[in-house]
Amino acid sequence: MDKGLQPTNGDVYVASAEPPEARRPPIAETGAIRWARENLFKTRYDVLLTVTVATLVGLFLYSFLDWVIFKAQWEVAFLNLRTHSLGLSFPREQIWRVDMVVLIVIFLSLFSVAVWGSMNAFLRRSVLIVLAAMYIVPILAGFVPKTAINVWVQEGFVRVMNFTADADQTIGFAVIPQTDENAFAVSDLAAGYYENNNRQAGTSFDTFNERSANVVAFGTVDPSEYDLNFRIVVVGRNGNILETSEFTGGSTDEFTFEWTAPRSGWYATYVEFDEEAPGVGSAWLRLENIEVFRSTSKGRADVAERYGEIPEASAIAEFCTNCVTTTTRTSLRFEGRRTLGEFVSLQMAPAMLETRGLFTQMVIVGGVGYLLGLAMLSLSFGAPDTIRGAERTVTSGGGFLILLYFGVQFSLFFNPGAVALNQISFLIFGTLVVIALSYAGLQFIKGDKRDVSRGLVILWLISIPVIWTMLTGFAAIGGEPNTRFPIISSQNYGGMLLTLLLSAVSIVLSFPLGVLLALGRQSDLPVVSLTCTLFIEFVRGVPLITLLFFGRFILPFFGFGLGDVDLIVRTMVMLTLFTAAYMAEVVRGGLQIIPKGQIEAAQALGLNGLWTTIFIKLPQALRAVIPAIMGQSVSLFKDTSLVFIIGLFEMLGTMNQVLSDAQTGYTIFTREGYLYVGVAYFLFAYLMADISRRVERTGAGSIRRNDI
Amino acid sequence: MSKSQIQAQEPDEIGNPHQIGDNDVIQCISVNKWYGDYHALRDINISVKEREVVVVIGPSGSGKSTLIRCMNRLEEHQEGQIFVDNIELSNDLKNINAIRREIGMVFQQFNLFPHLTVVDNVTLAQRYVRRRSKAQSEQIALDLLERVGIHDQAYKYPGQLSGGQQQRVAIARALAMQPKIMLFDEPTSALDPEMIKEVLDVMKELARSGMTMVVVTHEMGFAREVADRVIFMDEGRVVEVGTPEHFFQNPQHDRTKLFLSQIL
Repeated sequence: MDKGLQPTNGDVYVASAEPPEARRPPIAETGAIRWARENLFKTRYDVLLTVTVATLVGLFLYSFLDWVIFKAQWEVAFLNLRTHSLGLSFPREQIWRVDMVVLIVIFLSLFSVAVWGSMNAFLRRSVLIVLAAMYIVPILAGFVPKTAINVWVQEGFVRVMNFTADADQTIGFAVIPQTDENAFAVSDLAAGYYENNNRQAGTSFDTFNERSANVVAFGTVDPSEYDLNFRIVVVGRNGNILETSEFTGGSTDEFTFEWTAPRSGWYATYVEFDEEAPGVGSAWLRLENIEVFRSTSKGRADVAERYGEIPEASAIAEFCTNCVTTTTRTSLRFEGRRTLGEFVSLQMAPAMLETRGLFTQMVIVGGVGYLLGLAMLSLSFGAPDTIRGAERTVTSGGGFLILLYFGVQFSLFFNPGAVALNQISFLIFGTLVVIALSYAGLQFIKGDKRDVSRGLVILWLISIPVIWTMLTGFAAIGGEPNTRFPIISSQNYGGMLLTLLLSAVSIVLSFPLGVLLALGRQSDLPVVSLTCTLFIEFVRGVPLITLLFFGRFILPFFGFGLGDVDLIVRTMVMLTLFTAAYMAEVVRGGLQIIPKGQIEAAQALGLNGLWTTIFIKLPQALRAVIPAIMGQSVSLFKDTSLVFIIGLFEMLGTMNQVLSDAQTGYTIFTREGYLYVGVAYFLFAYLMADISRRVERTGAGSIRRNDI
Repeated sequence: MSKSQIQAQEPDEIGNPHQIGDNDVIQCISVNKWYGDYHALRDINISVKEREVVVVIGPSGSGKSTLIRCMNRLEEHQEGQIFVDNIELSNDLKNINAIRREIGMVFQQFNLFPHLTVVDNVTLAQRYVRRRSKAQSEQIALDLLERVGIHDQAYKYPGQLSGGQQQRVAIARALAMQPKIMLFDEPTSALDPEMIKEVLDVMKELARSGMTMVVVTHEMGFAREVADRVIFMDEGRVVEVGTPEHFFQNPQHDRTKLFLSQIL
C-alpha cells in the first residue's frame, strides 16, 4: 500500500484512502520525562523554583528523618499506646470490648469498600508492606548485637538492675570511671538504657517497666578527685548472692568482670560501696550481652513465660539494704546518636511487637470483609465472568490468609511466645462471624447490586446499637450483676476512642440535621425559615468553646433532668448542633447552584415538591458540596481537641496528661509525643479526605460532567 | 365555544375527557402576562385541537416560550383563562399536577437529570407520579429509548451522550408519562447542525403517530412539513395564524412578511 500522496492532477490534493497508521509519541513526549519537562523545568524561573524548593524540602526532610531515626525516643508513644487509644483510666480488663468494636468497624468498612468502591492498589500494597514489616523487623532486630546497658553509678546512689539471662550466657560488666570533665556529656554511649523497676504507672491497667536513655552529665564532679570504691554483686531472684567482684579500688582504669549464668531465669545486679571508703566521683557501669527487657505489657507476658514471673521492685529492695530505689524516672534525654541497627532493635521492634497482634487481626478481619463483599457483589450480578472474577479473588485471598498463617508460625519460631494465642482464637471467631454474616447477607440477595447495598446499610444500622452496647455495657443480665460486661463510666473514656466517638457521632448526626436546617431556611413558611435562620446564625455567631461550656455548665440549670445526662452525650449534642449549622450553610450553597431548568423539568413531569427535593435537588446539591461537607467533618474531627476545656481528655488531652505527669518522667518527650498525636490526627483526616474523593467519583461523578 | 360551556361539562375522569366542541385540548382565552411592568403576553386567544401539530414561530422576545410555558403552568398568567384537557389552570395544586401528568415538555437545554442514568431519568416520574412498578417502568423506558433510537445508551449518564442523544432522551422521558399533549420549547436550538436532524426525525415520527404537539421552533422546514397550523407571534401577541401553505406562500401581515424575508 502506498503511504505517499495519491497521484494528483494540478492543484488538487487528495489524501490516501487509508489513514496513516497510529503510532506512539516519541519518548520525550511521554511519561516522567515529559511530566518533569512540562511541570518542573519549563522556563528558567521554573528551574530556579524547582531547585530551590527541592533543596529546602530535602534539607528539612534530612534533618527531620535524622532526628526521627537516630535521636528521638519513641517510648512515650509506643509504651503508652493503650493510654493514647483509650485514656488514662479505661479499665484494663475491658479493653477487649474496644478491640471487638474496632474489628467490627474494620470489617464493615472493608465490606463497604468492596461493595461501594474499590481498593486502591497503593493502599493495599502499603498495608501488606506494613504487615510484613511487623513480622520481619522483630526478627531482624534479633540479629542486631545486643545493646550494652549503661547504668550511672555515683557515690551513695545505687540502682538495682533486674535482668534475664539464659543458661551459660556470659554477661560482661565494665566500670568506666568518669575522669574527664568533658566526658560527662557522653555522646558515644549511644544506648544508655537501664531498667527502672520502680515506675508507678499512672494508669490503672498498665504498670509496665521503663527503660530510658540516660546519658548526660549529673552536675559537675571534679575529675581529679575521682576515688570511687565499689564492687559489683550479682544475686538470684530470691536474693542469694551468686557472684561478687573485686573492689574497684578507686582506680581510674577501666575495670572489667564477667559472669556466666548457671541457668535460665531472673537475676539482679547492684553495686556495693566500700563502707569505710565509698569515695567521690561517678562512673558508668556497662552491662554487655544483656537482653534489653521488653517492658511493654505484651513483652512482660512473653518474658514471664520464658524466665518466670517478673520480680517486684520492692522484693529486691528487701535484700539490698544499701540500694536507693528511685521512685521517679530521671528525666534526661538521650543526647547521642544511635545506629540504624539500634533504632530497629530498640525503637521499631518493640513498637511493632506491641501493635502487630491487633494490626494482624485488623488485616485478617478487614480482608475477609473485603473478599466477602467482592464475592457477594459478583454473585448478585450472576454474570459468568464476574463469578470467575470472584472465584479468583476468593482463592487468592484464601492463599493470602494461608500465607499469613505460616508467616505467623514462622515468626513464632523466632520469637517464641511473642504472638499471643488469642490471635488464633480471633481467627476462628472472625470466621464464624463471617459465615453468619454471609448467610444473613445472602438472604438479602435477589440478583441486584442494590440489594447487597441495602443489606450493607442495614448491617451498618444494626452495628450502631451493637457498638454502643459493647462500649457502654449494661448493669445486670437477668437480675444478676454483670461482671463480664459491666458498665464503663463515661469518665473512663479518653484518648483516641473519645476523639473518634465524639467526631463519628457528631458527623453522622449533624449531616441530616444540617440538611433539614438548610431546607428549612429555604422554606416558604416564614415561621420555619425564620427559626432555622435564627438558629444557624446564632450558632455560627458563637465560638465552639462557648457551646461546650453551655453544655457542660448551663444546660443542667434548665432542669428536665438535663443535668443527669452524661457529659459526653451533652458534648456530642453541642458538637452536633455546632456542625449542623455549618453543614446547613454548605448544603444551602449546594441547593442554590441547581439550575432552574432541573426543577422545571421535574415539575413538568408532575413530580411534587417533596419528590423534587428528594430525587432532584438534594442528590445534586449534596454531590456538589461533598468536598465542603468533608471539610466540615475534618474540621469537626480536629475541633474535638477543644473538649479538654470541659474536662474530657481526648487524644491530645490524654497526651498532655501523659506528658505533664512528672511521675512518669515523660515531661521532656513533648516533641515525640506531639508528633505522634499530629501523625495520628493527620492519618484520620487524610482517610476522611480520601473517602470524600472516592464518594465524589461514584455514580454520575465517575464521568466528566458536561454542562447540562 | 364559550367558557361557560366548558365549565358546564366536567370531565368524568382524567384520561378520558369528553369530546367537547371541536376537540380542543388547549384553549387560551384572553391570556395576559406581565413580567413586572413588561407586558409579555397580550390578549392571546388560541386553541389546539386533538392530534393537531401547532408550530409557534416568531422573533426572539415575542413571547413564544412564555406562551407554551404558561400551558403547563411553569409560568403563571395574570389575566384570562387557560384550559387544558378541560381543566382550568389555576393556583389549585391538584389541578396543576393533574394537568402536568397529561402534558409532556421538552426543553431547549434538555434539562436531563445529570445524577441519574438515562434509564433512571425515564423511569423516575413513572414510578412516583404514575406509580408504576419498577419492572414495568423500566420496560416502558427501554421500549421508548428504542423508539427514539438510543436503547444501547440506557445505562450511561446524560453527560456521556451527545446533545442530540440527550434531547431524544428528554423526549423519551416526556413520552414515558404517556401524555396527551407534548410541548416542545425550541428543542433543536442548542444542538449542533449535524444533530438537529436526528431530533427532528423523532418529532416527525411522533407527529405522524397522532400526538398533539405544540412546537416552538426556528426550523421552518419542520414547520412546513409537519405543522397543521403555524402561529406567528410578535411583541407578545398573535400576529398571524394559518396553514403552512398559507403562511409560507401567502402571508398577509407586514410583520410576517418581514420576518419570513429575513429568515428564508
